[in-house]
Amino acid sequence: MNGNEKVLDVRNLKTHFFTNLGVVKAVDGVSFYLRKGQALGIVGESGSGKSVTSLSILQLVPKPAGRIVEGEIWYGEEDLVKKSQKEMRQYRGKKLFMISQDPMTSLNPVFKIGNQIAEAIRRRQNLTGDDLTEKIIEMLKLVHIREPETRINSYPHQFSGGMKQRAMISMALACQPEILIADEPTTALDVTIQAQILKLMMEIRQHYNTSIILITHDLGVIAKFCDYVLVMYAGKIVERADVKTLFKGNRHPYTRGLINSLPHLGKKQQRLASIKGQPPDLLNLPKGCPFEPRCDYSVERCSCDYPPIEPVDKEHFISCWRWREI
Amino acid sequence: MNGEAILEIKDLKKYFTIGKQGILSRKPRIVKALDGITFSLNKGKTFGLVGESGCGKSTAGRSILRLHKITDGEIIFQGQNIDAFTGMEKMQYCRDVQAVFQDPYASLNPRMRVGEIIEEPMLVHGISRSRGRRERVAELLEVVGLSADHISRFPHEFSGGQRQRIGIARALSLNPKLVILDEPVSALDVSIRAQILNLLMDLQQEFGLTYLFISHDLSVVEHISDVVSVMYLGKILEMATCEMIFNHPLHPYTQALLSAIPVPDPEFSRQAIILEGDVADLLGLEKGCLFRNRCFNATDACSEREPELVEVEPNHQVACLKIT
Amino acid sequence: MPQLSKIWAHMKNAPLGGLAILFMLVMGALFSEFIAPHSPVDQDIIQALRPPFWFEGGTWDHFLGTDELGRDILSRIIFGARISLVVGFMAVAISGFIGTCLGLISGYFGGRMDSVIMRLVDIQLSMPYILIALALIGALGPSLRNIIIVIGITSWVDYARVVRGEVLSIKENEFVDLARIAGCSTYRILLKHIFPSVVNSLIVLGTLMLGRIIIFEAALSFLGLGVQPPTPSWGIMLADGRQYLTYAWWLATFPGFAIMLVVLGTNLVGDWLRDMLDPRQRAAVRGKR
Repeated sequence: MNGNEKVLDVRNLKTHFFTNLGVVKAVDGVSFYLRKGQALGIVGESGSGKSVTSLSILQLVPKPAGRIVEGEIWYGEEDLVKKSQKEMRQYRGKKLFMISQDPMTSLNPVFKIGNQIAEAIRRRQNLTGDDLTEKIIEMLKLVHIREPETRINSYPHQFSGGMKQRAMISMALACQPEILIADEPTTALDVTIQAQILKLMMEIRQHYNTSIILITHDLGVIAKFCDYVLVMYAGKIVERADVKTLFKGNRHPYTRGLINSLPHLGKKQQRLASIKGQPPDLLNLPKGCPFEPRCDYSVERCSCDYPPIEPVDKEHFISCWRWREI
Repeated sequence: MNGEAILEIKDLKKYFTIGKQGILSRKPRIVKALDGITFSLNKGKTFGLVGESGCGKSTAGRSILRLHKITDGEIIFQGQNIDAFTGMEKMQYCRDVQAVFQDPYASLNPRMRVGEIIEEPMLVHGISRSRGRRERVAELLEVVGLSADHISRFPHEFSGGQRQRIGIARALSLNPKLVILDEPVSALDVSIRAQILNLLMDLQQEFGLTYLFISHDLSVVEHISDVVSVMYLGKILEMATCEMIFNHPLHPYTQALLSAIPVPDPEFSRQAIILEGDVADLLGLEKGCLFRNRCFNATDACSEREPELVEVEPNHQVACLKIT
Repeated sequence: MPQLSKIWAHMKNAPLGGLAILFMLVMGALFSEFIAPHSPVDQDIIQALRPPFWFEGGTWDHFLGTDELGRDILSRIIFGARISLVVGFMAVAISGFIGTCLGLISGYFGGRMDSVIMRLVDIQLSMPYILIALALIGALGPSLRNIIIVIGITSWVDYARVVRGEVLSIKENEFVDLARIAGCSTYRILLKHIFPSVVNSLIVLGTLMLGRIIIFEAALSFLGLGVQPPTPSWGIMLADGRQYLTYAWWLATFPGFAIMLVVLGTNLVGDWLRDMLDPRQRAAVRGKR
């Protein structure tokens, strides 16, 4: 880890959705911090609250159903939760940059790619005319888009999925954000393209010492890319640790089940170890630990009280009543 | 590859015409989704078809399911060409060949009850009376790990994994011989994926099913398949037994594909082969090897001559000029 | 199929005003004889052109006044609801049936069939409704039955378009492919797998069309092409009242107000039904999970 400076400190974040059918506690008391230059992974299954966590940081929770009901998000000396939408625009796309799973949600279909990158460049530098064009081409070259001179005049729909994602990354490069939030950036892409995108993101991190939050359901991507990992389940962090500890010295039954249920390339097994049961229904969460119905280690206490987050080590935290025995 | 073949695909071609010729529309463009593929499925085994999006693997599955007309080639099921089927033979083919698709939400009619969904194929084929069918539905639900109480519920009351189980129960209701599995676990969460894969393998054992397993996920394909073929732009580039493909890949594309999979182990380090470009970069590739513009091994010869699928060692075929 | 709790959740947003108007319309039409204080056709010249009760010369007996022949306006409006409702429902049923069948065929089969049906739609849309109605009524002669037929066959276009659009997206669902793989006949696929998914849209469209058809009927009757006097129809009342507008405004105003209220009611209910039945709209209300 490069330095110990915390660039983002999330404390007891709670984002709930108020729906006709009841309250969905999408994020329910999440605390973590991001250090300078760190690649933080958030892993979890659908409905675990990993995406809502990232949207909360940017104040992009879909309104009116969703609302941050509690918690603080400290970015330097500022609490982002208290910022108005107008003030947040000073952060989004400048200091905080988001890459989403579907780049079309961030790219405007009626503007040329070149113009959209130009806009990102102009947030940092005051360039015009040929200088600007040159800079755009340089940006596209950095993300390995072929024939950038002609590609700047293309519209987003003329790009393939991987190229759109690369265009997004070139915009991130132009902004040089302090924090890059990538929400499933490679899920919609093929493996060979995924490898390209991950490599690019690693390059950004090395060159600019950018802190990255990578949200994914793919433990392989986590292992390859991140140095610190949060495991989320039903809106809560169940375990957080540095990446080696998480894969080799995990203590939470869910983390362990998740890792064991993956087929390992090159090591063909007869059967996969699987986690029993179904994902939790967020509208009807059990009173105690939400993982209890699917857990092999559960005892009576697990169904009554939610286990507190306890430190195992300096950087290893866990929320399970029985972690000492596991 | 030895064993009794249940399905043989011979030089299958499927071209799509994009854009009709009209007063205002552009010239029609022909997309070769499948450009001459040949393989055969052995009884009771799993044949894995892998490739990236747009390689034609799903088109192959849909052609076998007779969901669209093929342009050229033959599909031979148990010795009979399926193109020449009469009405009765078509119905019998429906009984023998069933499918499970990727999206557990779109695969089940949201307005039908679980019982009706599973029962429908039997109803259409006039199998047994209403009571007999109900009993069979209950039995099938138990087989796929659900309970008979679920019979009168609607799909939206189930999670993705449970829906996929319902889809599997429906596919099994006619006692098929061959099941086309088109990305059956891709839309599922990691913890549920393992459950479904285990279920599929158990069912294969129990009923002697043959699977055509179509997926983009190589680690899943390795887990379930006996024979694997790697597709790229409508062609098969490499085909071999599962062990050979994964332990001893020969084609540069297979090698790159394998090295690109992130391994869930932080201590595992391997230099990934990063392929340049995109599948969509097709400019000027009319002749020669379709992979050459992304290949790290390509030479001038690759743009001259198109490589054929050649057996380089027993049970291992490769389409690459540098190897054959 | 929504569960009871979900239905209840949407009942809370129900447009009570709109539902009340439609309830009154239906009740008025069903029980006209019992509700109306007078016969709609009985003339009483002595009572002619009485204003509503709150004006000088008005009586409680003729609540909303009388027309030039001394007929009670309120009673005529209540009986007129019957005509509006009969024409509305019958025409919606006929046009809905034609439009749905053509839309299903056009959307599911595509190709040449689709082109022919959609060209038919274009032709229909390019001709003014009134012109077609004039021509048809001219040929068939004005009557309640003929007006229903005319409206029925001129307003199927909207159904055909909506159904076709829905079918195009529904047939992309994998369950339709799986039905074909299971060996279902085309007829079964259309009836069991596709049609149930368009029913919601049809209910919504039908409700909204009801309002439009009531206006259309009034317009035709106004022009003398619809129901014939002395049968009370809102359109006829408007037409008859027009010449007295300067000194007996209530003749035309109250039937006009009735038309407005009913159309407003159907639109309110239609919008609410759309929000309730359309899964996309519902998702927007529920928010992201």
